[in-house]
Amino acid sequence: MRKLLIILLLSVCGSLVAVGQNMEFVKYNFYNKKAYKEAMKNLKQGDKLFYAKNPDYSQALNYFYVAQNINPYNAKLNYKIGKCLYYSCKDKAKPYLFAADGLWNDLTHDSLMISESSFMLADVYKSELIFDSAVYYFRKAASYDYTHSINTLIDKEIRQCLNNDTITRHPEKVFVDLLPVAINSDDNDYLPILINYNRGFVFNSDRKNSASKKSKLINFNKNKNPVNKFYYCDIISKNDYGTVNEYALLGSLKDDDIVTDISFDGKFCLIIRNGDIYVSSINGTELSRPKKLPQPVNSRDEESFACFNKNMHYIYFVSDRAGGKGGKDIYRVSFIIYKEDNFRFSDKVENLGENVNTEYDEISVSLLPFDNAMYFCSNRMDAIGGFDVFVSLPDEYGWLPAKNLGYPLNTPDDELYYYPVRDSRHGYLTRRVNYNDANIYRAEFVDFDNKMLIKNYDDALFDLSDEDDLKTVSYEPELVVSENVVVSVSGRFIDKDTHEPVGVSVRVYDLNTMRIKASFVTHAQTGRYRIPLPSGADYLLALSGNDDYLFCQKILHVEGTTTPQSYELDIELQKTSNESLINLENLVFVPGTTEGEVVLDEEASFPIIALIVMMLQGNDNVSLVIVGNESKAVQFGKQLVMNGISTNKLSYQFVDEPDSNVSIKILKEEILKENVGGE
Amino acid sequence: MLSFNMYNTGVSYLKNNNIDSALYCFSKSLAINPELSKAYYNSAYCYYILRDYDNCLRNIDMFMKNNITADCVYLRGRCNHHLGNLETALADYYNATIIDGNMDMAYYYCGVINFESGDYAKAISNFSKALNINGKKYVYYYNRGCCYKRIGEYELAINDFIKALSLGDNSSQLKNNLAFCYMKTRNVRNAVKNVNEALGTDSAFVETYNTNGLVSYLMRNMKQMVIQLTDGLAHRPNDIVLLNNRGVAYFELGNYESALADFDKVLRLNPDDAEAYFNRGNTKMMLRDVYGACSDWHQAQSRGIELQEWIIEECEP
Repeated sequence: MRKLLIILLLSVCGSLVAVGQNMEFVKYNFYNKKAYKEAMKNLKQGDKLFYAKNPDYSQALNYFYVAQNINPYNAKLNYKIGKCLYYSCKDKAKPYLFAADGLWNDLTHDSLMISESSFMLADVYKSELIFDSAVYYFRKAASYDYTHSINTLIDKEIRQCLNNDTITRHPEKVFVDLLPVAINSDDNDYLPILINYNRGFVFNSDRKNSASKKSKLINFNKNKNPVNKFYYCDIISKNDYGTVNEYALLGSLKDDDIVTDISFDGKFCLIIRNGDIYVSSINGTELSRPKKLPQPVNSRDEESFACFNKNMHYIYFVSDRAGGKGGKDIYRVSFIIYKEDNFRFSDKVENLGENVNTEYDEISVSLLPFDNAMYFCSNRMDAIGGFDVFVSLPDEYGWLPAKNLGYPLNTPDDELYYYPVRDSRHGYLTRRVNYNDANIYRAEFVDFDNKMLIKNYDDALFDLSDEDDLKTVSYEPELVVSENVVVSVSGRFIDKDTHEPVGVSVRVYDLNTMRIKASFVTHAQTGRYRIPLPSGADYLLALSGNDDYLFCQKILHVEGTTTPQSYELDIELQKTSNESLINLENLVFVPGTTEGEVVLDEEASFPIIALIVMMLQGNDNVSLVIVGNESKAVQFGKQLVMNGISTNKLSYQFVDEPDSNVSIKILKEEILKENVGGE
Repeated sequence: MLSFNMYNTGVSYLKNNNIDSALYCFSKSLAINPELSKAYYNSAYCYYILRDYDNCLRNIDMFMKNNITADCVYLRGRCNHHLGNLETALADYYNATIIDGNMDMAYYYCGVINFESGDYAKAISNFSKALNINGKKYVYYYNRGCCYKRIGEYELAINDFIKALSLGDNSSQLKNNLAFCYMKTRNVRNAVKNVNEALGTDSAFVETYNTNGLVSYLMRNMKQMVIQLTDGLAHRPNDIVLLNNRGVAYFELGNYESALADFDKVLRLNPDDAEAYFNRGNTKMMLRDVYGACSDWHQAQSRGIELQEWIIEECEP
């Protein structure tokens, strides 16, 4: 009762998908007998179409849907609806096949039916690129059908799924666009052939007056399907196509005829008729009567596709003749054209070899100009699913191993009849998503291979530390003084301002010992002197004998040497007048312990202090005015006093600039007195 | 004599690495005796240690009024190098080698400046001269290896890096470079080995994550590349090299939205990045944003990237 209530509820709601236990169509399962009768009636009608020799799945569906509305819990009915949809509208089949999968009863249901249902569900998952689920259902299908053929097929499908998982994660850079509705009708549209130097294409379509929608693809020449017409469309740009019109030129062909190629120059076309290849010449708007190609081009077996190479030296064709690699293979035969439209063929037909042909089917083939590449379709093991487009490149020995053009140009559905455009960057193909629904697509390869720009870091060189640097260079070592070597120092005493020679009496003191090392008087006219001095010492020059020049700041440095040398040195003297302010350059002050404090460096300042002391001691009538910063001036004065200079000889003139150097003014006695008196 | 004593005291301080006191003594000795040229040189030496390159230069110039030695010319080169006066520095190093042909460091720094100015052939020549004088410095081998790497001579670079390794350089930088060169020579096994060693030495050395990613790129394992570069970005989230290359990996995986996000970020960080513009253009193209793609490609072109013919055709108005 409860079950019936649920059924009724689902019937009212029109629910499509069943969840639960299998419920057979038997009278006692239905509370509503009228509904049961209705369901059975529709089931019977649907089955008639479903099990017919040429099933009409789309019509059968209409009846099955009615029965499904009454009982959605029947595994077999879900399977039948799933199968109808699988062959007409694959993407809608999944819920029914999935429902059937949950309702199958191993004891009561036909295992082959379960296997087929699982196979279809697996194939739907494969189309949706859900490969792990696909593998699961393929395996399930295999477990219900032990026949060799199905297991071989399933083995191939599983291997493809496992392979596809990797392939689809690395998609090729290709756009695959469905051509506009005007070209792709609701019916099969397929086999585009570019003509007029790629400015337009002819394609096959059974869009009008189609009595049956059964596909003529792949084995089209075997199926005696009526009404295949040829259409033409201009290519204005990749997004823009002209009006689609019937191609009158091919109108004289039989309904079963398939035109598989038109030569590049538009003068010949190849036709498949009853499993044989025919050629027809095109003269303006007329098509000549097709001529069957001789043996060995045509064989007793089926020839199903043919095309010219662009140079018109070969016909490449597909045949399932004996002696091939298995299934349908691609062959080629050379020919020449004589007397305008007569063909003479080579006796030898060449199988393109194992790099192209396999035990599976190779169908449809097309070549780039100069045979630079050959594109063909195959359902071989390394296809993603169904038929895929492959490309093989030539080498001097034949054709290199074919390469799958990859996802997303190839999909688990069928990709057929790839027609490449001259630069190989794009082409046209037919894709059959559903069993009876083929459409034409344009593929465009975006030439990105290895073109994405990878960045790298700029190398930084290893650098050496400053320490490493300084291992290379070294500082200058200590000076070694050798007093044994006497150096000759000569030159002139000159006035600093006028550069006139100065005659003056000079005593030379060794600064280290304060001993007199030399004493001389310079020539009054030339100012010249020459003295021998031990090297490696500093010398002070104390002046006397010329009241204008009382003081010389110059310290004579004689560097240590081991070989006798002579130096030329002019010594400039500054006149010591009352106006002269003499800057004591060699008086050294260093920072003290408190901030801003400066302390006289006695050691470093010793030479200049010694000079001034000697000057003051040697000239009784001379005194000093110390000019400068108070602290510095006083420290200097104290130092002089400590060296024996009387404070009477010193006076100060402070300057309020902490950074100023100490200078001196030398005063003669009488002037000092005046100054002192002035204070 | 006093100035000499001062000078010698300064040298003693210098020997004991008491640079400030040494400098004080040299300046005092110069106060007493401004002609004591060696004190200028040693003052320059002290200033160099103290990284006061201006004062170092000033003292060297004083010294060089009366003396020219290889050491002082070299030291002047170092100061100029530090101060960014590369041409002057190069001339100094060169002159130092003229005065003293065995001064490997002068050749070395010539090589460094050559490298920095992109003259890799001269850099290789100078590093080789330095190696002829002193073949035990791994730095010379390492840097010459870097030059070879820059000019795409990966086998020679590998030889030098291995030599540097044998001389004691155990850094991640060296191993990373070695891995990169192995990767370029398609020796994946050694590339992976060295990447792992580099990461083992320093897991925060981001450059290694990039090399690791590039090895995966070579092996077309884009998923792995994304993981490796993401690991590197955990250490340095705004690294434009890692972001750009991860964008490329996403692109190759067909994950164009993530690729776009990475290139967008690179361009936010560096609005002048030509490669990122180009890559983003490619990505936008795959997302069928032709206008955006063309705009980015033109930006890349204006920054020196050469566009293919088909792109120019595609973007024609």
